[in-house]
Amino acid sequence: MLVVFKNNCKRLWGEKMYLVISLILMIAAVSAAILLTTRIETKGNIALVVPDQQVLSESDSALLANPYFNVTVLEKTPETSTLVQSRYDAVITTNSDGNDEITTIKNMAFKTMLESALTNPAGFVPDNSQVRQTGTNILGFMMMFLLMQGVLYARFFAEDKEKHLIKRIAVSPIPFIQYILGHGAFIFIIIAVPSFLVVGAAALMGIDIGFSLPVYAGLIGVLALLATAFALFLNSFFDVADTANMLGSSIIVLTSILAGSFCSLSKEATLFDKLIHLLPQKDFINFIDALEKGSLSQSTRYQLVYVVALAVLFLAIAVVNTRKDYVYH
Amino acid sequence: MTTINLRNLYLISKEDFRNLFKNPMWLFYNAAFPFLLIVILGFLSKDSYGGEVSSFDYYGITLMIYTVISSGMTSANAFMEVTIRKPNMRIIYAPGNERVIYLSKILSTFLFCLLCHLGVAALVFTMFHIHVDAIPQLLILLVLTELFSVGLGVMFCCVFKTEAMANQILSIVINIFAILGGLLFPMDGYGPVVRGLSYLSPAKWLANTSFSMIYDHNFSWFYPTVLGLILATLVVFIICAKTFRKEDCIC
Repeated sequence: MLVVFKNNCKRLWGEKMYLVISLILMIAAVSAAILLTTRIETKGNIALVVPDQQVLSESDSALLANPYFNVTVLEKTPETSTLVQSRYDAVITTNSDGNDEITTIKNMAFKTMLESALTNPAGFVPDNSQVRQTGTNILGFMMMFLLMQGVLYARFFAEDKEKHLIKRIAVSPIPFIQYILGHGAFIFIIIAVPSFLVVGAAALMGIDIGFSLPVYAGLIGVLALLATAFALFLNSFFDVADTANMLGSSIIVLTSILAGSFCSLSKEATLFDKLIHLLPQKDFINFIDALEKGSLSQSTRYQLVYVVALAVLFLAIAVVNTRKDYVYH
Repeated sequence: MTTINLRNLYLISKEDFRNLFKNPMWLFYNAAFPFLLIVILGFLSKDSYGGEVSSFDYYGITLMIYTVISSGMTSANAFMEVTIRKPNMRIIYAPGNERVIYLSKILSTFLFCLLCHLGVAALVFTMFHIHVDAIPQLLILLVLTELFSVGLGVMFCCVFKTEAMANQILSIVINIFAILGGLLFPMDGYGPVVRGLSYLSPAKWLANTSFSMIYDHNFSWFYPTVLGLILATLVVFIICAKTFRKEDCIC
């Protein structure tokens, strides 16, 4: 196992340009995740259209002072494309009778919430349970990149298969499980260490990252384990590196968005929503969300166990599947 | 380019084009994946939109942009594929210019991706009644962006000589740009800092141009974007020409 690991390190060292660039990209991706998420404001954006010489009505000025909304006062109605791109969640105009009129492309629930904020500003408290905190956001953004890195770094394993080196390894005395775990250890370390260092550097610079560093170490470890296992699992089925690579990155992009790693998509308890819980990313996000809000329950703990168990299952399938293809019985 | 080279380019591109259809992975990545992405994301976020503009109206446009800028992945992988290294050897020995090796890959992948993406767009836009307007201008943008991103994929292969590196760079850069540009989920509502950062991403300019053409009939972004795309494509082609070495493409 150690031999494979060391050999992979030497192979990587032999391509210094590749090493440097992939490390830079990794650092860029993680820093972008931290940079973006620490600056996210999740207030509702409202455009208040007040033409010249018009005095703000009472409810409008109350809305301006409302801490839950980000109100921009405009002279003209904003363009529809800004609404489509969610620059503004709603536009409030005053019609000829002096009443407020709300234009929005969002659903009725949002409109009623805004109406209640306009009519009763004092008693208005929005539902904040869906809003995520910094740590969850950072890890959610990082997740997709870490998983993709796994597939990309599995290329030494893919190269072994593509160039039929693996046939020679199969007849060598090294046990197959150790060979695959050696590749696994290599991928795990090359994903986990640089990303943890970036997070550590951010913490040292005094940026609020949500969790403490040991917790981050554990969580990044789980993510890196999942990434490694998935990459080896996928590569064990294909002999061509391109296929595994492109299929892997499309699966990862699709499932990460589905699991709501950037922002929560579905809220109702539909059948589809339950199915999404099969995705390890969803369970991971739920777990860290509960962890950050301090509302851990037995079921959220099981969700983390599920992620780890799935990773172990992927690894086991990778070992069995590769052995089936290359070891003669 | 003499006539013989043009003829060579045509013949090799034709063969490359056929070759692309043989690998089911390319078809999956360029046709099935964008379709799934739009359908699933559209359905999932349907509830948070009201009647006038649906979630498909947003995701249909942004995810098409995402698909088009990802076609660099296809060209990079098709250019450095192991199976075409031996044919490349023959091209080098044959009379004529060896530049047809990469030009034919750009041309064939461009046609292949364009065909797949137009098919997906036509299907999805009619299925979900996605609101579109200014179709000729959108098509011009689509063609130019496609050419640029396909060229970009080949450029990374020419510069770094290995497919692995091109993949690594492309997959991370494309996804950072996509997230920053709000292609995977709307970014504009997240406060002024994030909004400013999102303009760093060219994907944001494309999305902005498309949406202001569709909803406001505002074409002021269109010409600068087209100009920028043409310039960027020229730069990509020049870098390809400067860094291409025929030795890298053979076995």
